[in-house]
Amino acid sequence: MLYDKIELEPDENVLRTVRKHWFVITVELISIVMMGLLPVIGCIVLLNLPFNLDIANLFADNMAVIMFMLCTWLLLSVMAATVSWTHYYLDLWVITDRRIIVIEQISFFNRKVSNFRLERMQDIKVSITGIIPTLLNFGTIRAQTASAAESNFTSPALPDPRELQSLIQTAMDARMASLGDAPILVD
Amino acid sequence: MEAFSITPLLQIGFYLTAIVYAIFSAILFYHWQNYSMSNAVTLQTYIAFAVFSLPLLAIMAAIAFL
Repeated sequence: MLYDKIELEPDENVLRTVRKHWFVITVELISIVMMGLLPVIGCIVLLNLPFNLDIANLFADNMAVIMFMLCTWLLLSVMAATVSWTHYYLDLWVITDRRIIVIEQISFFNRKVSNFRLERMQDIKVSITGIIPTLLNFGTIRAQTASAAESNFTSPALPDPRELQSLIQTAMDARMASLGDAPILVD
Repeated sequence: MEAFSITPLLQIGFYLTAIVYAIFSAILFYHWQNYSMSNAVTLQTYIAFAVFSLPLLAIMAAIAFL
């Protein structure tokens, strides 16, 4: 399981795990289902056309091939939906009281895990753009760290981004307070 | 002229599909086994994938071999 591999520090507590908003996966899955069913619906429509008997004969003569191809197409759709769900579920943020761990499952063979320590965070910006994100309350979080520019991170379609921003801000303040006057090591 | 039989092509198609399916399943299994945070969700994903895909493979096998 994932927590075994992240290796939390002693006394480090997970505050929240966050995935992309459900709207993202819903839209993806609906699109895949529609694409999957398109040839099936097409065949049904063609077979039910009242004026074209040739198509019915064509289907009857090649039923095995057509069924085989439809099954292949549906199987590919099932695999596409599984890939989509896997990327959605394995793509997550783990917010602890010391750092933010951003895990990006870009594809099956492209996985990126980044750690951002709270004491090095400088700025967190939230943007909610568009009608649907506004209505469903999801948006993009951008965080800037004290490290190099490439260590800044952006995550789109996170649910309730303002609440997340507040949670991170609170965790940052608590972390800074717990560190007190201890010097912060910078690479 | 001898009639062209589609059955060998369907059988080759089935073998290719089965190989792709097996490789995909192994990759999927590896990812969920290593990166998932919940055993319950992992199990539900395996079950859903099997429930939706195995009947299709079975139909394809039946068409190709029966």
